[in-house]
Amino acid sequence: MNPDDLTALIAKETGLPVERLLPQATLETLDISSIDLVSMLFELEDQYGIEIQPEELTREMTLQQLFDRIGVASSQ
Amino acid sequence: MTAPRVLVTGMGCVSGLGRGVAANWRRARSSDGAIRALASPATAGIAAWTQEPPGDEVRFPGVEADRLRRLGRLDPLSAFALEAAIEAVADAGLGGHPSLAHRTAILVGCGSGGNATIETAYERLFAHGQPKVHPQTIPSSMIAAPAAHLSMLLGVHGAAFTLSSACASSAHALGEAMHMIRAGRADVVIAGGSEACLTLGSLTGWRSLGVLASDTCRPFSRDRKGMVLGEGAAILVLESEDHALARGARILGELAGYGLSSDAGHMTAPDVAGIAAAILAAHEDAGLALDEPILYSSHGTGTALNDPAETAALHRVYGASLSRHRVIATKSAHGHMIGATGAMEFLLGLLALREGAPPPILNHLGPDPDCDLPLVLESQTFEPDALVSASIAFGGLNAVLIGRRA
Repeated sequence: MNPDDLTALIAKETGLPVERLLPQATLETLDISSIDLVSMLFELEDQYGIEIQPEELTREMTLQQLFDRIGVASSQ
Repeated sequence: MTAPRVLVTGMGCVSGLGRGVAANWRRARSSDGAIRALASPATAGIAAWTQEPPGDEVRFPGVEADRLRRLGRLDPLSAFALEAAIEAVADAGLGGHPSLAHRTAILVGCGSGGNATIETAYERLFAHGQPKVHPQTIPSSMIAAPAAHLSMLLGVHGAAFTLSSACASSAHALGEAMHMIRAGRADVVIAGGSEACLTLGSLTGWRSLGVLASDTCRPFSRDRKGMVLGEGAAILVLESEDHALARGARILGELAGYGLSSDAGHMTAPDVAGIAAAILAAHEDAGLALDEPILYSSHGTGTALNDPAETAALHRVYGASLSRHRVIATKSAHGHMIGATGAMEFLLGLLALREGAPPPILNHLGPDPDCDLPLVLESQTFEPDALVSASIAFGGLNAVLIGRRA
């Protein structure tokens, strides 16, 4: 999985435009709902076998931290 | 106090005939039907299927992307309903109107829930042995989703729910919506139906029942072989006369009567007495004389059982006056849209009243003595003041609507 794949996955599951998915943005500032978050984690596991529990994520987490947790270098 | 008249002030629809009322009416009127071979090899057969939708900004005009994303995953069932409702509300000039928040209700008729979403989940579980399904499987596929999605998108805080009575769902929805306005429970009701049933599982279920035609839909014709499925949505804006006049709304017609009955007999066989009872109840409700010329929009599925039963009911109700009426069957153009079909047929029937131009029945091969009716088989001028639109559903659930010209 490369950074663009991950960005595309997040954009698809949250309905957010890619240009808003900046590394310093947090899940809270992006206003990603809990159901979108769970959907995102489902696709991550389903498509890439990367398993992350929802409780590992917080509203304050930045996308950079999320990318780090998944083990993908941020593209931006 | 007399009950308020219930007017139609907006319309929207999507079907195999196209997207939007104008496209649907143009094709229905010009005998350009939508039934054709299914494109996907996984779902062989024929249906009146919709083309791949355009992008969200075209499909849902005026809706900001951020509002849309808050709705979550949309099954085609909800997407059809949203598309038709956005058109209807814009057509009514009600966008952003203060009445939407607290004096408006939403009533959507659906025969089934989000088939595509459910089948995708089941395929994972049963075909591929995967342990999980998408987290939004339940909220996206629930039969109440279209009503919920509409309330969220339009900011409607009043009553919002889905009503289900198989192939009469949206006729019941419109009729019950009329009564909500008559009772003073709402000034405006956004009502109609939606169905998205052209999935492998749903199609196979219908095919297994043995009611689908292999060639096409031929209502009231000799050598008819059955029904053909369609998909889509039709939504109308109903409004009390006072509310409509106060805001200077354009009046498209009146929903003047509603009659219903339950056969309490058989799951799939129609009952002549039950159909006749619903038609008579609708006439009585509207105060419409049986010998006043009407455009009768039939249930007209093209099945072996429906068409003769409906014919017998019409002879029983109208007797010698039947020859003054004209019978149309628009399922021959847009297919059987199940939960959406009653609203679609009422919508097209009202347009036919307005224009004095009933859309011809398609694919008719010649008379069947068991279906002896004054059928509209070619373009003609017919200008009655009233429409009688009948829905005769599985389970013996019958609903009949009466429309009047504005």
